[in-house]
Amino acid sequence: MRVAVQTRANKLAVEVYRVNPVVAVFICLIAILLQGYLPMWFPSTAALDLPLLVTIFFALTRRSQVGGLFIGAAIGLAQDSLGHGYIGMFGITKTIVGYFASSLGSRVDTDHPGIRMLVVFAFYYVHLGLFLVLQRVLLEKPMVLPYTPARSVAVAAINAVLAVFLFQFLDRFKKAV
Amino acid sequence: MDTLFSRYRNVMLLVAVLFIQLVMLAFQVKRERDVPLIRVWAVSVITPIEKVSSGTVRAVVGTWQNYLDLRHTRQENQTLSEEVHRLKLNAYQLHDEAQEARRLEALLDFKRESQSEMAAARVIGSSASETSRVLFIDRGSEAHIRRNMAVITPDGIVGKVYRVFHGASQVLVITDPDSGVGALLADSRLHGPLRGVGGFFCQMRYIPNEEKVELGDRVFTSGEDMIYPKGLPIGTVSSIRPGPVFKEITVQPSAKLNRLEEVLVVLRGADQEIPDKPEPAPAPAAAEEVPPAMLPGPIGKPGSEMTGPAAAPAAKPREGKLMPVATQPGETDADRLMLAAREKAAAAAAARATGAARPATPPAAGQTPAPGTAPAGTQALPAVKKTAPGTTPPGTATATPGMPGTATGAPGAAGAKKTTSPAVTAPAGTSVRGAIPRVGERVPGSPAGDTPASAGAPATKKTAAPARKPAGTLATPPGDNAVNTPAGASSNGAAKKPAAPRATPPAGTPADPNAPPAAPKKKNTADPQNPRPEVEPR
Repeated sequence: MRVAVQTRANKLAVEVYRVNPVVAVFICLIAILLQGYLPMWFPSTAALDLPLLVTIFFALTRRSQVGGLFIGAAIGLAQDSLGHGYIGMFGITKTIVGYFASSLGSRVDTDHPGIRMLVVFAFYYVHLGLFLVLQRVLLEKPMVLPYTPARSVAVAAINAVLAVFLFQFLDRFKKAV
Repeated sequence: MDTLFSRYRNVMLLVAVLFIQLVMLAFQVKRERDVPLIRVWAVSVITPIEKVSSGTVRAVVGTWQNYLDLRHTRQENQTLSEEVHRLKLNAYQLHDEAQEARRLEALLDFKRESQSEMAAARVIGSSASETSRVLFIDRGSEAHIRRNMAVITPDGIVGKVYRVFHGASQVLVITDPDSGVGALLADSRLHGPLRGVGGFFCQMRYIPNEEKVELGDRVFTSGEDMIYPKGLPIGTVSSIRPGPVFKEITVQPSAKLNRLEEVLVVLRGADQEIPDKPEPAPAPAAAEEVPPAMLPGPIGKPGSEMTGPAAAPAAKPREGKLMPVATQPGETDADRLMLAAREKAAAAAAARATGAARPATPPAAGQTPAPGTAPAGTQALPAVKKTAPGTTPPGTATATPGMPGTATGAPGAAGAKKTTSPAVTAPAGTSVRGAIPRVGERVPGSPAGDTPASAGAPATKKTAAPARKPAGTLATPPGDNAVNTPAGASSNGAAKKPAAPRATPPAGTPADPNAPPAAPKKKNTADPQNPRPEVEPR
């Protein structure tokens, strides 16, 4: 699947990358596994959201809204399946995140670490807000932040910083189209 | 339409995907049912990877920890080995201390149950030669240890104090050839001296060949030696051989003489009854009761007359150990006998209440009250109960006449000859036995190292010779055929003829193995109706 996207505002050509599907699936599985494993050894790593970071990475890399939403849906549903809640909560939120992340990636150059950090920081809150809203609307659960506001900011910042390094690592697996 | 679809394709796909997930979510919420298919798929995909990754991680971690990261392992191993050695030593020490605590607990129990006054001592050494069997204990004159005090354990007697030093004492073990103990066989009541033969055995002597002795018979102290209180276990018969006249009976001491660590020194001995053969395993509930077998000696046997309050309180049986009979503090066999006799006399008096005959014991004909004794005709028996040990006034005899090395008893005047202080002589009107300080009992105020106050021959323990009693004391009338007086015991005729020499020389005195007794003493236990008729009143 090749998607050539150009920013319409400044008419700059944006590079489109693709990742080997097997590697992509493997990376997604690793992210889900680590999300379940790491807190067992290091409880503080429960604040990290590796599936979200992987979703954003592939959405920004492929710059395809369809690809982004499907990747987001797949990772979200897998995350739901391994949890104890209803299946679809993370699927919906990550579908939306994947769609808009790919939309954003098709408009701005997201290879810069600073931009990546800002994007991840913003999408962390988008993801969290969507999840809470869906939980409130669909499941009638109270909207309660898992952390205090200050702590949630810190968690978002940590995820953003981690995303910078993670994306740099995952950039090795992408190939320019 | 195609243009619209192609223009909004992505949005429509997003809406479609979201709608599908919303429907799925609504289905779960509405029906309260899961979507197992997705979960099964997800789990089926994830869990194998989890297993592989988990196994890999564990293998890597295990390899690292068990094979690679072995820094300081040798040092840690050495430290742990040292700690293991230290803990082992601690465990051994604690084990030894626990065993010592158990032994001391047994000693304490024994000391509590016994009526004798004892002092615990620790064995600190033994003789340097094989020819002399002596021990050293860590108590001496400062602990009021005196020569010829008995040294015992709950299992049996050990020996006697031979020499006393300050802070230590030398104990002559009963297996030493120079040692001697007045002993009796528990079942046949045969008396005889016990001599050490070296090694770990003793030999009981002067038991005629015609007497029946069996292997395993229990041997107890008879109290005749004035050192060991009566009723202490000595051991069991381990071999019997007929000799020219007397049996050669080897006795194995019941005390673990080669493993002694703590012993008890009898400061003030009290006679105890010889227990019957220990029952195999008494029921716990029944153990609290007082079985007839635990009652004192032949008195407590079934069918015996002595089943009254005098014999009621008895100690719990201790298999193979001393069984103190706790009737009353300081009460002896004779006290119990006298008490029973008094009850019997009272019953006889009640039966004769209508008659003019006096129930009181008449004074012996031709006897005159000794100075300081009660007048003739005084009822003797009631005084027994009032008589506490150590309150005996002078004027009563306590010893058997004719015994070398013992105080000679003479009617009325014996108290003057005896070394007993006024505090321990019986009041007038009491029986002789009641006035006798118990065997091994020390006379208060007597000089240290004195022989025990009741230094009479064994016959004095079981007999109450009228000849040695003041007038008015409990007397067995002449011609009482029921009295089965053993040889050497002073009976009714003892006043007229001297008692025969004792077969058993006191162990406290140098025993002469070549001096056979005139006749070995055998207590009368055949007639249960007359267990101890020597003191049986009319």
